[in-house]
Amino acid sequence: MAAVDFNLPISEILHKGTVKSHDEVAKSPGAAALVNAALPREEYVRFLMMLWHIYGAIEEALERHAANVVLQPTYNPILLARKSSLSADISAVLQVPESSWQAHPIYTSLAASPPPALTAYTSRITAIESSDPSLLLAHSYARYLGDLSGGQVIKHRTAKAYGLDEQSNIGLSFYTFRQLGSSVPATSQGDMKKIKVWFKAGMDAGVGDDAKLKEALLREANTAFELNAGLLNDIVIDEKEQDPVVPILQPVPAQKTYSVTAVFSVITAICLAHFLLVVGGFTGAKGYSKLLAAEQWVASLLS
Amino acid sequence: MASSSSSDVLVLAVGVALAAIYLFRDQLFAQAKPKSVPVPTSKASNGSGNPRDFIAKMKEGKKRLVIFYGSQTGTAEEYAIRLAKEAKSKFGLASLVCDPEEYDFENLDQLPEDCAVFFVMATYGEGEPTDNAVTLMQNLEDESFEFSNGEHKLEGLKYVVFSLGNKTYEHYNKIGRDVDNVLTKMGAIRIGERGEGDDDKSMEEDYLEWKDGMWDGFSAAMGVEEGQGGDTPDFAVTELESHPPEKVYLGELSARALTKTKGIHDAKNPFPAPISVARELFQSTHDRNCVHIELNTESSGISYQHGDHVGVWPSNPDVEVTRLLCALGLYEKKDNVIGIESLDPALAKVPFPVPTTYATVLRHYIDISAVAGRQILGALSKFAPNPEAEAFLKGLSTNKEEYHTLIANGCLKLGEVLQLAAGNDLSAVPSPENTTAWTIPFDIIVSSIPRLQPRYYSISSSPKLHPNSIHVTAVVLKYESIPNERVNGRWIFGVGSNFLLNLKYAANGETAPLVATGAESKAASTTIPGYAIEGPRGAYKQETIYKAPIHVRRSTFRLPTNPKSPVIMIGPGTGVAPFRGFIQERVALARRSIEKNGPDALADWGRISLFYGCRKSTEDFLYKDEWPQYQEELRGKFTMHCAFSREVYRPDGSKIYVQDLLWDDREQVADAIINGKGYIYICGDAKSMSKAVEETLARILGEAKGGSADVEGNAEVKLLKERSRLMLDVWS
Repeated sequence: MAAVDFNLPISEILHKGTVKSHDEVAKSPGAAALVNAALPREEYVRFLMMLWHIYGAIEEALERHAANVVLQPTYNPILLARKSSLSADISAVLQVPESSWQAHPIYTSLAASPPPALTAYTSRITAIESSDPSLLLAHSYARYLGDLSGGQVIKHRTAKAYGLDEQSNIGLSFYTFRQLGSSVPATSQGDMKKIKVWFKAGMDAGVGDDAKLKEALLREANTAFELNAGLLNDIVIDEKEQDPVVPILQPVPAQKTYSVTAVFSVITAICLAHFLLVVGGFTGAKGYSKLLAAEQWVASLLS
Repeated sequence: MASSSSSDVLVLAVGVALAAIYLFRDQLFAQAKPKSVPVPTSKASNGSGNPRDFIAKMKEGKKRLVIFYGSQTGTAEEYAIRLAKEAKSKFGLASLVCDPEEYDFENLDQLPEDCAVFFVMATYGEGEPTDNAVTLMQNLEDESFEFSNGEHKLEGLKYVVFSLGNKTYEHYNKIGRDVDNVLTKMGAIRIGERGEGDDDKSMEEDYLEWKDGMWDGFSAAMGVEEGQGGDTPDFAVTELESHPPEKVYLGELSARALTKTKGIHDAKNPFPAPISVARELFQSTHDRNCVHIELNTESSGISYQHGDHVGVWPSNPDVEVTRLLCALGLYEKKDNVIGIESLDPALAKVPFPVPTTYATVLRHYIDISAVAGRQILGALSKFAPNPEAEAFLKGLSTNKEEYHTLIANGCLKLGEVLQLAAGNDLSAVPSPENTTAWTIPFDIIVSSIPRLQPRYYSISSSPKLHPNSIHVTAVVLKYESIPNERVNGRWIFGVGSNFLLNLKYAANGETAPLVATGAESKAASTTIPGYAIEGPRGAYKQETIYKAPIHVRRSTFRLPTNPKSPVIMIGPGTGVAPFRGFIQERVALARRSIEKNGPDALADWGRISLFYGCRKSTEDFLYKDEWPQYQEELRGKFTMHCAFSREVYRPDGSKIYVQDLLWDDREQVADAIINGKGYIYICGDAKSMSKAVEETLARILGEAKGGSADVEGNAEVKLLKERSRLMLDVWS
């Protein structure tokens, strides 16, 4: 990390001090796939589900520490919170009601074995919440400012790639913000910038001149970028080892091997067929005459 | 099994093989099935040739304009499409609208002389091009980049630039300016001025201000005249001889809705919610109605939160559907199946699903109940049945004042204007006999009348008390139009609320009363309009149960999670709707807390104040019987302040409104906001009420901060808004 002037306001320190980690994240193949909306649909949904966990952790922690002097000026869940919009988008992309997407195979398999990158992220939030909740500011900075900037580009591409309708905004609410101080949707770069300016001013007001806190926040912000990098690395799927894609609208996992029931039913079918052939007198000469009779019957039908 | 013959073995083997094939069909034939991986948006391939060659595409499609857009979030793309539409409607010129990423620029110099190129370029971040325009910019700026002429020259190329940017950024519109400079340097000729739009506030006005001058220059440079393009249709409408009836859209909004595919209910697939309760809320209904409707959402998968909106999908009333069908000469053919195709899908998409029928389009898909627009009247004049009617419409389209008096103030819908122009009787029940048929091509109706939109209502219940039911509180919109020399005053009915009123009557088996008798009103006496409430294929009626098609729209109008924060709600009239939901939400929480922590559980809760207003406590007091019960359950934490504007007056006789009660309670209000970090919510009329309440808040806060309303007060209001502690759900 280059020498940082800790006399600057925290918003500038974080901006300058995270350039490197920011660029590393931005250059990663996972980020490229996300920005270009090149992920298969189910992989995109899985990513939204991981974000749902992460925002859940961050936003619940912020809620518990809403009165913290450092966090208070930027505490604005109505403007910023993303957890519930992620849930709505997951529901829309999967075409499954919001109350039941957590039963979808994509989610159950994610929940059964959460990727280490996801666990690392959420545990970090839990850890700082008990050690120093002020550091949560670094995490809201890393996520929300990203959503307000690059997120807007992703929105447009995502809409095009997955056939989502930007007009109705169905499935795209994660990328949608309200104008600052209003209930009107923010649509322009200018609207987004006003929110960012407001957020930065709130950070500066909350942190003040506390140099030690600034240093810790810078460290934490870089950690936040690393955690995000880890998350993005997780979504890159190796083409060669790619599992068969789970059909998104039929929540049945594809079978890679023959299941016991399938093999068992073949054996049963053979046994049953044999039993019927023998008992029904379809074997030997008797059977042959019946076959001939059947052939004639079929021929008479067709002629 | 000694007797088993060869045929036995054969039969058995075939049986086994078939069984095995059947069982393992998924694995065996898996390769043949398409993989469900998203396909990258296919580049429109037209036959053979290089798909990245825009010149070839222009020639093939006989297009004289090519419009490139540098767009990151879609805004520049929208303006590119608008320019293409205008070029078509003004001059009849077709355009190729291009994402520059999908084309090569080596042959930009080969653009034929009678053609022009448009650049609609956004500037991003710190003066950078949008991602899709990076290569285009490199090609234009790099002097070593050679066009097909072997030079970095574009002599005589005609071009137009509209540039989008944001004034709060340092490099305002840099990319558009760069394109302009570099093209001029290469010998290209700009048509008109360079347009610059400021996305911070005035993009639309900037565009409107720029484009007329540009089109003037354009028509001179291209040698084209305005008015050449008026007749180029957007759509082709065909009547289909035979079509499977189950595949015809009769009001369904999507394929999902038509085929009843399992999926979620949203704005494209509303849920027909059975009406479980429908009742009148006003104590006195002689001149107004307000309906309370409970919509059952059980097993729909629909969930909602307090403060959300419910979208109700009305249809147009019977009388207006019939009127326009007659005026368009389509009454006999109303149920014919029609297909509609876009003649240029890049510019205009068919706005509703097809195939459908004429009557369905007018009833369910387009907004024929709105006041007729001035623009469309001019376009329709050439189809008039006689010269007088033609002159009448032309007059309306050119004379703003006449349009305003006759049409806007007279609240005339398109069908009525056509009848009026042709000299038909507006007050008669419309029929082919009393209505002159115009020969207006149906594609013009499709492209010039906007889509019928859902009507949104603030939900008046809380899911914590009513998990499977959404409550709607709607005042029924009905007013008299202003009479003029051609048309008498008539009753005008809001589409959405009267649709709900119809449903209420039907659900309760009531008959609609006459609106008013002649003696009481200047307007002709009439009944409220009827609707086809049974819905497409009877989908909205099940025996005696009626259903309303709905979907939920999320809002950010929410209570703070922590009940310790004080809450101030201002909602006169139906503005109280969301606050009934808010109060129910807190009641549910109170019940749980008391159950868990005993009767003192609410001791540290913040105060909840509701400022409500109506005419009289005996006339239009909404949910009058419910409030005392909520107050009891909230153990004194909930106070209600009511302004009855026609019952309680000031000593000087003037009326008392909600903002006056707010001012009276200023000490408590200021304390709740400043010391209690409280939340304020305003719901209702945007124009007068909401503005007056905000001014009163500024006065209260200014005084509490020891300053003025204009300085300290307004600053405080702004701060509250930015922190989402002052929220509005208002309508005009």
